[in-house]
Parts: sequence; C-alpha cells; structure tokens
Amino acid sequence: MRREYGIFYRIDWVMVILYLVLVLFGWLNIYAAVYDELQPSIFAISQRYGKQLIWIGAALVIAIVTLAIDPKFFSQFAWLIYSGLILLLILVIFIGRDISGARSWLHIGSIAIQPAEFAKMATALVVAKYLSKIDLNLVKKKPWLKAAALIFFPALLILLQRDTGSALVFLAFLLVFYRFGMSGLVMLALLALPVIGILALLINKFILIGILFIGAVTYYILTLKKTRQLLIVLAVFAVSVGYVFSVDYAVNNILKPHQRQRINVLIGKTSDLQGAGYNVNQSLIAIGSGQILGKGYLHGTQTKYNFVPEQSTDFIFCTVGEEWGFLGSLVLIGLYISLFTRIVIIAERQRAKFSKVYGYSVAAILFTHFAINIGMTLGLMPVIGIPLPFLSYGGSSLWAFTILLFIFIRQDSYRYELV
Amino acid sequence: MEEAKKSILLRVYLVYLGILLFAIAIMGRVVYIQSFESVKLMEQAQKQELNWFDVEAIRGNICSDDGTLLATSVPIFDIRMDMCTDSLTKEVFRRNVDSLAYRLSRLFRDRTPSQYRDELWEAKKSRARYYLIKRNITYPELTELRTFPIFRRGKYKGGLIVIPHYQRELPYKDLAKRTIGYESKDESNRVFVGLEGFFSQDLQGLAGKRLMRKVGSGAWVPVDLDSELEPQNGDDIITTIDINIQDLAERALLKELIADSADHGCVVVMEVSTGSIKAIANLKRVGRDRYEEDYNYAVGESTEPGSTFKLASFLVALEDGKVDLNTLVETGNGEIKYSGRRMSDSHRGGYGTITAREVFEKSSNVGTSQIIVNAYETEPQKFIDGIYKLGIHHQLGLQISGEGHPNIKDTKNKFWSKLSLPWISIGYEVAMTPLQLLTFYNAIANNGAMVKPLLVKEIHRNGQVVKSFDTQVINPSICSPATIAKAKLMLLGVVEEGTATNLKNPVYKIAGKTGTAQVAQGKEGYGNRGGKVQYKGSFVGFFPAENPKYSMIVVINNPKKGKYYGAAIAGPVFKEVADQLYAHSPEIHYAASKDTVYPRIPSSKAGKRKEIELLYGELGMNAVSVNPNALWARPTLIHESVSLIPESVTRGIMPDVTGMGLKDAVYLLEQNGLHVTIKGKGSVVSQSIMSGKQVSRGEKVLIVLDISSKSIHKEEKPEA
Repeated sequence: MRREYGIFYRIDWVMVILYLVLVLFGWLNIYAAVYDELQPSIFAISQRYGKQLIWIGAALVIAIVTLAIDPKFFSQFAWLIYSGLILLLILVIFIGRDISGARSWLHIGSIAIQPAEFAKMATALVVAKYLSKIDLNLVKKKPWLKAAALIFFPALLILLQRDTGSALVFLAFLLVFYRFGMSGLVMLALLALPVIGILALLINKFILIGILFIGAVTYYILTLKKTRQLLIVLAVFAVSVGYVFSVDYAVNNILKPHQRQRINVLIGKTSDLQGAGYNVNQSLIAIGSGQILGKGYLHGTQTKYNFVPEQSTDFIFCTVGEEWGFLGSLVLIGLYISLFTRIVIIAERQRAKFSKVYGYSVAAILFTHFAINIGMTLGLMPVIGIPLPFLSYGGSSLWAFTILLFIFIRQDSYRYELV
Repeated sequence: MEEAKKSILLRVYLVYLGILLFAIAIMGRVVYIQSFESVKLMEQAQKQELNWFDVEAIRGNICSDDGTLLATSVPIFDIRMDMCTDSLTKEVFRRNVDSLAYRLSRLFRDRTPSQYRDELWEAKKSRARYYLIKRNITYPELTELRTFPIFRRGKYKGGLIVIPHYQRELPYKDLAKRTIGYESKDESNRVFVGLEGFFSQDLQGLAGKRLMRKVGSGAWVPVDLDSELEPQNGDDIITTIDINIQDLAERALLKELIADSADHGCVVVMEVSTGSIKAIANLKRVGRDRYEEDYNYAVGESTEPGSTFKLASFLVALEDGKVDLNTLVETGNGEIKYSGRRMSDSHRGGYGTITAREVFEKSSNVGTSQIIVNAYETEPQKFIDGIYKLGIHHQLGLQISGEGHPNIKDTKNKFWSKLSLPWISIGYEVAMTPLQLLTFYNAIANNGAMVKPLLVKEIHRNGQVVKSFDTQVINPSICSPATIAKAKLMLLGVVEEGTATNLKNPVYKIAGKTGTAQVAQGKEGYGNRGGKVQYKGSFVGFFPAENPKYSMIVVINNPKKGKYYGAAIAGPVFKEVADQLYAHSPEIHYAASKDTVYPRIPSSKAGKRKEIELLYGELGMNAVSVNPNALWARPTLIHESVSLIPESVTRGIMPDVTGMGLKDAVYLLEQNGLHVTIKGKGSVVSQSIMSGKQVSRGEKVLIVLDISSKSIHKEEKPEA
C-alpha cells in the first residue's frame, strides 16, 4: 500500500461533489416524503429520514474505507469478491426473508442487507477483470459469450429471488460490451425486441409482419445484396415473425390476468386507475401538480399524505417533481447527466483497461437504474421496483452504489500508476 | 489501427448519445406532465386530498326564567380503535390486552373482562381499523380511558380513536321534559318535540364548513383558517319556566297521581299579569307508581272540561243580564230531564231552591242548565255567541307545537241537538285543553284582560338578547268589570263555602272552580253501558284572590282509588303548590324587607376574582382584593366594605364552592373530575364533600343551590 499518497490523493472532486449533492438531496426528499405534520420530530430514528441519515453516515465511512484500500486490490481480488457475492446470492434463496414478494434480504442480527445490490459491483469488477485480460481477442465471439455468462449467472440467481428489477439491471453490461467491441447487431436486436413486442400487442399482427417484411427488403436492397446477407436477413425476419406470434400468445395465454393487465396499462391499451395503473397515475398526479416551480419543500401534499406508494424508495422522484417542480426535476436530471458524462469522460482517460471497463460499467449501471426508475415514475417504463441511485431510501442500495462509485474514483486517482 | 480507433470512438459517441437521448426523452416527458397535463393532474390531486367537512354547531341552551340550564349540549365521545396502527404490534397487543379488557370492564361495567378480551382479540385478528369500543362516553370517562394500557400510547401508537360529538342533556332530568322537549326517537330523521322543536331553527345554529386535508389513512386536518366557515352556535332560549315552581308542581302532581293510581295528569302555573308559564308538568303512568313526562296533556289534550266550563255559562248569562248572583234558581231534587235525557246533581236529593251564586259554588248541574235553558231556550245561538265573545273558542297560538283545538259548536253545527244547550252549559259537548281553560280563568284574575300564555320570553345570542317576546293580549276585556267582579266572588265562594272548602286556609285566599267530568270513552260513551266510568277531576283558579299573582290548573285523569271529585283529587295538588308558592314569593307579601337600617351593599356570588372586582367597580364601589394574584375569590363584608378573600383552589382538593353561582361551581368541580349533581337554583348553599378534603376523579358530589339565601356576605368566621 502506498501510504505516501493519502486518501484524497488526486481524487476527482467533481464526482465526489456530485455524489454528495445527490445523497443530501435524496435525504431532504425522504424527509419530505415521510414528513408528517402531526409528528414532525426531525431526527427521529424511528422514521425513515432518521434512518437514512444513519445510512448516509455509514456510506461516508464506507467511501473513505474504499478510498483507503489499495487500488490494485479490486482488480486482484475481483474473482474472489464475485464468488463471494454469488455465494451470498445462493444463500439468500434459501435463508432469505420475504419482503414484499421478493426473497432478496439477508438478515444478520438486526441489520438486513440486499446482496443483489452489491452483486452489481462485484460483476462490474469481474467483467472489467475479464475484458482487461491481455490475451483476449475481442473480435471473436467466444470471449463475449464468456463475458455474457459472467453477467447472466448473478442475474439468474437474482431472478430466482423474484427480484426482476434488479436482474434486469444486468442488461446494462451489454452497453459496456458494445463499447468494447461487441457486435452492434446485439444492441440492435436488444432494442428491436421491446419495440416489436409492444407493436405486436398494439397493432394487427399481419400488418406488423408486413412492415417487418418491407424493412427486411429495404435493408437487403440498401446493403450489398450478397447471398450470405440474404440468408441472414431472411433468418432475422423469420425469427421476428415467430417472436410476434409468441409475444401475442404469451400475453394472451400464458401470463396471468394481473400481469396481462399491467402490460396493457403500460402500453396504454387500457387505463385502470385503481389497480395496475394506480401507482403510475398517483405518481403522475404528484409530478404534474408540481408544475414549473413546484409546491415548495415540505408542501407537496400528494407524496406527503401517502397517495403515492413507495414514495421514499422507488417513487422518490415524485417528491422531487411535486415539491421542486419542473425546475427541480431539470436540475436533478442535469446532476445525473453530469455524473454520467463525467464518469464516461474519466473512463475514457484511463490507461488501464480494467479501470476503463469498470468505469463504463459504473456509468451503465447507474444510468440503467436512473432510466428505469425515472421512466417508471413518468409512465414511460413498466413499474419495476429498483431504486434511484443515491436518492432512494435504503441502506443496501446506497452503500452498494457508494462502493461502486468510489472504487472507480480510486482507480482514476491512480490512473498514472496503474497500467 | 486508425480504423479501429475510429470505430471505438464512434461507439463511445453512440453509447453517450444513447444516454443523452434517453435523458432528453425523460426531460420531454417531465415538461409534458408538468406543463401540459398539470392542470388536469392538479385537479385530480385536489380532489383526492381535500374535502369539505361540516363543523357541528353547538345547539343553544334552553334556560329557565333566571337562566338556569334546562337543556344543554354536552360533549360526549365515541371510542373506536385502529387495530392495525404501525406500532401496535401483536406482541404489544398480547402483553396488554388482558389488563385493557379488565380496565374497560371495570369502567363501563357492561361486559366481563373476558368478554372484552375475546372481542378485542377478534377485532385484532380481523385487522379492524375502526373497531367500536363504546359509544357516548362522558369526558371524565374519556380521561380515565386515556390512562388504560395500549390506549395510553395514544392515537398513533395505541390506535385510540376518539370521536367527539354533542349530546343533549337535561340537567333536571324529567322536570318539564316534555315541554322543554327532546329528540323524538321513533322517527328516522331528527324530529324534536316541545320547545326544542318549536325553536329548533334558533337553537340549532348554523353548521360550519371546514376544508380538510388528508393526512394519512383516515386522518384529516384543517387546511387553514381562511377556508373555514365558522359554525354559528345556536341561540339560547330563555323560557318563562321557574325551575323551583316547576319542581314543586311536578312533585305535587306525582304524589297525587300515585295516591290515586291515576292514568295521567297535568299542572300549569301561570303568572296572571303576563301570562308567563311558570310551570308546566305532564305526567303519564308508565307502570306501577311510575310516571313520565311523555305527552304534553296541558297543551294537546282537548277534552270535555265539565264543571269548570260553568264559569263561561255564568259569564254569558251575567253579561246578558239573564241572571244575577242572588237570582233564585229551582234545582228541585237534583234531577231533571231534557228531551227525555236525565241530568242530575252529584248531591243526592238536590239543593231545592238556591241562589245563582250557590248554584255555581255547589256546582249544581241542574241549576246551571236551568239558568241557561230558561234564558236561551228560544235563542240558543245568542248563548253560543256570548261564549264566542269571551274568545275561548280559538286556538291560542302557542310557542310550542301540538296545541289541541277547542271545540265549541254553534247551533248550525250538524251535531247540534235539543240536548246541546243544557249540556254545553255544564261543560259537555264542548272541548278545551287545560291550557286554554287556564287562559280563560287567568283573564278573570287579570280583571278581564285575556293574555296569551308565554313560554319563551327571550332569545339570546352570545349572552345578548336578539329577540324578546312580550305578553300578547288576546282579548283586552272579555266582559264588563261588573261581571268580572261577580265572577271573582263566585270563584272565591267555591273555596270558601262551596265544593272546594278543603282548599280554604286562614293565610291567603284561593279562588277557583272544581270540575268533575265523566270521560267519554270514544264510541262507548260515558261508560253507562256496563263499562267502567272514567272520571277527570280538575281544579282551576288563582291566588291570592284579592290581588291574584298566579293562576293554576290541575287535571287528573282516571283516578282508580275511589275518589274522583275535582276538589278531592285536583284540589290538594293545587293547594300544595299554591301554599309553597305563596310562602316563597316575597313579591306576594311585600310587607317587610323594604326598609333596612344599613345602606345596603349589594351582594355578589363568589367566583372569579377579576369578575367580582369588575362588578363592584361598575357599581362604583371598591372591592379590596386581599391577594391580587388569586384566581378565585369570595366577597366578604368586613367593617362595611367589601374585601375579596382569596379562594384556594388546588387540584385534588375539594374547593369551597358555597356562595358561588352554578356555572363557577360546576366549572371548578368538574375541573377536578367530579360528577356533580345539582339541586335547586340560585347560589350554592351546601356541598356534600367538605372543602379541603381530598377528592379523586369520578367521585360524586351533590351541591344544593338556593335563591333565597341572600346571606352571601359571610362575615369571616372560623371554618366549621
């Protein structure tokens, strides 16, 4: 360990300050969300804002500890950390406790942690470790399949815990893979899947197939009209048609009524304000009633009076929208975009591949959380319960994101020493 | 290599662009929701978080003539429980439910501890959020309830839900209950009877509106003061009823009703000059020796008055000059037939030839009917017109609903027969309510001026008079003064030497008329065909005869113990009330008391020191406060000046409330959680718990008030 440099040696203060601002802003909003005029004691430990303050204090300690650890430790022990987390994930499936439908909590004494939150960080480390291997030929497919397996495994375990949201976040790594050379077609397919899926439910199947056919023909004509291309185009077309039918069949025959209802609500086919659409509608009412300037801090009546469910965790953005209005939302989204931009820029300036891949992973994970969470509160995404990084109430997610970010900050500060 | 670098750079841009695009999409969505959709969403927000609630106005009080509360609204509470409040865990519940059930059972004594426990468990298991523990508990009970296990944890931790509302209470219970009125229970909607009903508009006030905001499940708090429409509390109704006279009348009536096992009866006491009803008691038998204020007979029951109606007949005949007091009337052997129908006197063998005055005093049916038949046989309508001229055939138009119709038919009526004239002359084939009859007699006492009975004299709002009701004259002169004078003589004669000599006393003179009527049993007639004869005994009159102050009517229906003459059953009630009234009314015999030796220093009740100071200040006198910090004080005469001796008031120690007004006394005592029972009116003369004694919540205390206790100025003396 190189003690001579000290903890704050050349760390990127922009990221640290963005982090601190977000965390503090989060705490203010949790206070607002839980705020009760009848019990306004500010630092009540029994209340969520009181607890969150403790989590924040702990997170700062964790951040400093993370900075104090030798930067090489994380690349060196990436596999060990990953294995450890996998073990925890398996353990949770057997001895975890059910909380609101998901078995994702591990209770150690009076403390409950969610290993899934930390698994993202561990996967980021191991993906960075794997992709930074010098002898890897990334032009081939095989390393990408291996890398995909690395993210698939924990995602599967988390899915088994019935925590779909957290599992979906692992798709974020595909963004990283793409940056480091994975075929763009994978990304294209990934984007096409939900689009075609939604269209399959919204419009007539045969019209959709016609559109797909025209697309395929156009693509073939525009490209070089090679025979090999034709086969690929045909294959893709065939798979798409099969997909259209299977989506239709799955939604109408396999899914349970409430799941079907949720999908129909999301794509706007039906509106159900008491059932599946309730959360989103309440969320929209809260955000919408904030207007341009917001109702003012602690004056947001919708979130405060429990009209919005989960308003201190998954729907924390409602509080922002209602009390701080459009301006507040703009500033918050600006803060996130600044953080992502900063991470990407800094990731690009890394000399060590490990740091670079890890940096992208951090950006991708944070962005995915951000996109799904805010998209959900705005009715753009299905209701998938995942936290908004640094803002949402909860110790596990805050600590996991803190470790995730501060490992990268430490890596960056040693960018000249690490190769 | 250059190619690869370019491709990588492109990917970086693509990834970053993707992020940016998504961010822009989110921003767009935020803009859309917060500006274009916001009006609609705002509306939705308001709809679910704001609501207007009615704020109950406190119903006004009904007071006696001196402001004593006859009916008032007291806050009571419904107790419910939220079994699912967050911190009321099963563990907490399990640990405390036994002692809670025990305490509840001890407090309410309506279920056993185990019944309470089982029900609480049941409610807990079914996760009830609004479980009813008990309705309509009093404030002291609530205070105690708040100390119970679980409940002492409060609303959020203990799930205790307290719903306050107001309940009507009659501090004097059954006294004048029917006239004061109450909410009728047999109606699905709120229907008030009595004064409560007639003055409901004034009493009920105006419900306020309050904009409330939802705070969590089921809890609402007011938004702010601006958005509130203050409830306007109801006005107070000041009646003419004197609670002491009422008490007197009610008790005397009850005693007689029990003695006779009578069906029902009523007593009305009226102030002669004003028509103010000082007492109106109605009692109906509801069981052996049990009577209740259930129907307002005095106001509503219009029946054949019998002999008391003879006064009307005599007035008409006297006025028309058809008869004079000394005119001789042949009553024969006490029997006479009109168109084959027999009429007889109660005195067997008859009175022979007697004067008209004696006919009245002895209440001879034969004599009375003979006078009228002889005078009006050829022109019966003239007799009826004479009665109409008295003005007793109209409803009075009372300040209370349900007045019965007087029924005095004329000769054009299809039920008029040859029998009508003689029978009407003795009070049959006509109907009047007791109150109408009393109003008629009161006119004689009032020298011919017939005044409308007055039940309510003022309406107060916040202690200020907003409306007052003056005495209304129905008929300024029902007949000539000479006739009035003769009527008075005859009425006095009834008591002095007629049918009601049992009312005669050496102290003051009563004038009045007895009435003993057989009561028609619907189709069965007067019980002549085998059925048992029902009687109605009555006495109506006034006193002191020379200068009447009060008039009164007593009616007792269907006595079952043998005696049924008006003088025998109604007379004693009249006498008892009149005696007491005479004894206790200094106004009646204002002989002494006027000239005292010392210049009088006005007395004041004990009470709040500042108020007393203000009072003496207003009168231009100086009251010296012994302790200028004392909250309560007692004015005391020391060396002919007023000193305010501080009253020590300590929680848990019985204060000395003697000399205080009812309001202050009750306030002080209830502050200590005592159950106060009140007797009498005026200022407190005694208290059942000695001052200085330790008292605990819920203890019962009786305070006796008396108006005549004028010795408010207590000379300082050692505590007894």
